[in-house]
Amino acid sequence: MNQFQTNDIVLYGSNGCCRISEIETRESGSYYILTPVHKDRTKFMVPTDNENLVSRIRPVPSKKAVHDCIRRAAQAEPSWIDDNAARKEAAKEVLASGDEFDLLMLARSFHQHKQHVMQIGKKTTSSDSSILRSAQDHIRDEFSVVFDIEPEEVDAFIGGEASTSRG
Amino acid sequence: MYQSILVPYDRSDQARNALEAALGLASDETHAKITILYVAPLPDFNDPAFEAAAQMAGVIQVSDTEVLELQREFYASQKEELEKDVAPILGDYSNTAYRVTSGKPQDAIAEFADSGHYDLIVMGCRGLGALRGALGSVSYAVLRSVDIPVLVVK
Repeated sequence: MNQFQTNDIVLYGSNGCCRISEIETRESGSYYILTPVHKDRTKFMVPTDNENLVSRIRPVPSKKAVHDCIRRAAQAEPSWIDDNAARKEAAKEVLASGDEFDLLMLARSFHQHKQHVMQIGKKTTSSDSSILRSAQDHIRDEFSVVFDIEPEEVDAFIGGEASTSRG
Repeated sequence: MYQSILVPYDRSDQARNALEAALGLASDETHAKITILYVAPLPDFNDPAFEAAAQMAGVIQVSDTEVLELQREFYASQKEELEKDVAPILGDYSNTAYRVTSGKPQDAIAEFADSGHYDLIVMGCRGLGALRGALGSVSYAVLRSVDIPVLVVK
């Protein structure tokens, strides 16, 4: 009995939002075919009996769960790690976990830092820019599916939700 | 967020597509490292036919040291050809590594993948079903042998 069914929308580790487009059965075994929601021409293939890989597949969270995350993140205070290597390592963990609240806090702290360094006429490091972009892409990819909006609309959507929750 | 992407490369159009897709992912995100792996058909330098050819060329017996040197030269030349072959695809993307190995392709790829810290393998569709996006037997064998997400490019 497969854990997931065709047409389920899932998250596959840090690989983003995918639709299970097919469960392919061959002599060698069966495979979940995961088609990224926002990318053409590619698919992830996951042997259904590979527990390690299958455990990375999880259902997309509900609208309510994501609403709650946005509200909690809006009320929390972002933290910044000064040490470059430690900051990168912590960010990698968050990006790999795919935890929505942690991703929002990561994006907020890196965005705040970017604004701060720009105000003093400097630039963020390429590593910090990449981390911010990755977090934003991940959030846009996932939230657009949860709320059935375009990825480009996600930033404004979060902004609106966050303003409401801050009162 | 990908840090390290492995692309098994066999010089086919599908492998080129896979490399292009990997490049897109790597440069979109954290400038991830792309390792391009070519499984070369290593000549058997102990084969009687090779020894006969060596004798005809005036070499009485090929020593183990000479065999190792021939293998080293073979790998170096294959790596050079690989670099030339993928250069037009990679353009100025420099966070790359080139590796040449030998053996049964599926075993060589799986063994190599296990030996590194790759967070994604990108492969092209091969075999008779490539047009409809199906994989070839090597790709299926790799899928069953690794514990790393595999992205297939149509």
